[in-house]
Parts: sequence; C-alpha cells; structure tokens
Amino acid sequence: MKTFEERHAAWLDGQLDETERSLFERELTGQHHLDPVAERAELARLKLALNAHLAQTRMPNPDFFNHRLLERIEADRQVPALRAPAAAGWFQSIFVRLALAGAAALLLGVAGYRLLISPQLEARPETAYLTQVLDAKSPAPEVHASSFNSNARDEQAAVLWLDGMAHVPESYAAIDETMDPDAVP
Amino acid sequence: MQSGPPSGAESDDIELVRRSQGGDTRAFDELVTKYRTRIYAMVYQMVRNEQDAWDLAQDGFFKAWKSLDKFRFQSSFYTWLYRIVTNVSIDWLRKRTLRPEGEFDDSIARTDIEPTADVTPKAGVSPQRQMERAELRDRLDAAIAKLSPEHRAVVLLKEVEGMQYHEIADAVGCSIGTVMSRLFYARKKLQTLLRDLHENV
Repeated sequence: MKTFEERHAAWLDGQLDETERSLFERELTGQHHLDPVAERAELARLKLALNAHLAQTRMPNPDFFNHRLLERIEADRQVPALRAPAAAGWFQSIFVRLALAGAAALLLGVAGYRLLISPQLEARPETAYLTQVLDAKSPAPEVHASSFNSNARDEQAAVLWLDGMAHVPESYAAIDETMDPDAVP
Repeated sequence: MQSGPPSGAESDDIELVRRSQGGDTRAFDELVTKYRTRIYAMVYQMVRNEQDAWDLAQDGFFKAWKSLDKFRFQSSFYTWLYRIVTNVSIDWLRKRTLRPEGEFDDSIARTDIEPTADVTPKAGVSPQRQMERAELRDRLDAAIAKLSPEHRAVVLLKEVEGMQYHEIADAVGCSIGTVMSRLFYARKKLQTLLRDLHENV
C-alpha cells in the first residue's frame, strides 16, 4: 500500500490508472478537504514556473569549461606516468636494500658466533668427573658393559664398568703391565 | 531545455562512452559539450552561485571521466552522469551552509543568472514585464533555496529535467517511493512559498 505522499506524486504526474485516480481524488476531497482540480492546477502552474524560469540558466564560458576539463584530465594522466618510473626505482632499491640487510645480518651472526659462542666451546673447563664415552657390548645379555675415560689431565685412566656380572671370567683378567712378561713360567 | 535524453542520443552516447573508456578524450569532450549546459543548470539550481556551480560541474565531469571504467551501461550515460553530479552537489551543500534558512540574498540571483539568456529583450516585451519575470525568478530561486539538498535535487530532476521516477531514484541513490515522497514534500513547500505568485504565472 502506497503512502498518501506517494499517491499524491503519482496522481499529479499522471501515473495512476482511472480507478486509482478517482479513488484518490475522492480521498483528497473527503479527508483532506482539497479541491482536486484547484490542487492540480496550482501544482501545474508551479511546474510551469519552474520550467519557464529555471531552465533558462546558461553556462558562462562553455568552451573554456571544456578546455579546463581537458587540461585537468591531461594533468591527471601525466601524474601516473611520472609516478611509474619512480615506483620502479623504489621497487629496485627495495631489493638492493633487502640484499644488503641480509648480508649485514649474516656477517653480524658470524661475528657474534666467533666472538661469543666459539671461544666458550674451545675453552671448556676440565673436570675430574668421569665421562662415559662408550657403551660396550657384552656377549652375555645379563651383563651391561660401559667404558669411561677420565678427563683429568693427571689421571689418564680408562675404566671398564660391568653391570650384572657374577664373576670376572679369566679372559677378562687384568694384565699387570708392570710384570715382566718374560717372568711368566 | 530538453526533458530527458532523446532516444537516439543513447546509442550515440554508448559509442562515445566506449571510446572514452578507451582513453579517447575527444569522445569525452563531445559528451561534455552535449551535457554541460544541462549539468551546469542543474548544479546552479542546487547551489545558486555561478562560480560554485561551474566548479562543481567541472568536478562532476572530472569524476565521471575517472570513473568511466566503472560504467557498465546498465543505465543511460545521462542518468549515470547526473548521479555523479547530484552527489557532488549534495555533498558540497552538506559540507557548507549555503544560506541560513529563510534568508534570501537578492544580490545574487539577478547577477548570477545570466539575465539575457533565452529572455533577451525583444520588441513588444515591456520593461515592466521584464521586471516581473526577474522578480518571479528571484522568488523561485529563494523558494528552492529553502528546500533541503535532497528535496531540491528531486524536484529539479523531475520538473526541470523531466526525468522518470526510476531515473531520479537511480540518480540520487534512493528508492522510487522515497523519490515520490520527496517530490510531494518539495512541491508542497514550493506551493506554499509561492502561492501568492501563482496568479502572475
């Protein structure tokens, strides 16, 4: 359902069919106390006045209007053309800058490693504790054999650790290197 | 002034618009020449100042040129152009208080509208009649100035440009119902403001 305002506009502009028009004109008379003929005539005069006096406006300097507009368009066209090489230069310089920044970061990383981390690894302090250097295998599954070296400079000893062995077999017997091999009977 | 674009003009426009979209400024220049007077008149009635109207019409055409790639031929170029120009004008009016409500600066109307345009004094038109016409135009200008930018646009597009409801709705970016409603209120306000002049029209 259209509003009164919409129907009034449509009525004035001749957009209503015959039934709608007569209904609307009855509504104008009955509810709004308006004379449809006078209402239409008054608004028609308004339309005439608007057309007669407002439509006569003429543009001053019309040729200059076109000239000025084309100047603006040309100026606007040249701006992107000028910007394009600058943009390419900027693009290239970005790559150069990125490469330089990468190389600098790499050099900084290498220098940092050399100065801070590498000396610490080389100058590791000696300890008196034993360090397990080898897990030895044992032919007996219940026996676990490990070998240790002492890091202490004055000890220079290797220790063989055997877990789960009931007794040391004869073949494991330590050879006393201080004994004279020739003295064995 | 024409009421709506001639039907043959649309096919001419299509060709000119296509060429303009391809960057042909000569084609766009033809479109400008074709519509500049109507666009200027429309803007002038909106802003009621010659220089502002000229500048805003420039801005409207320039904006149209820059937006040509977005024109999809779903409406006529004429309607599309009016939409741009109307929006430019309404934005401008919203940003600027043109004149306080109810005030009329009569120093503007007579000098800003080219007084000789289409009403060049002819033999038989008495000076008194010319004065009456000028007075009527001043009163119309003053009455239109009291409408809101939206109402002003709708009534001018309908009464002066002779656009259809759907074209106005397209041009100002609202529904047809809103166009009809705005038309009603704009006409009623003008009717009230100009009631005493109707006898002379």
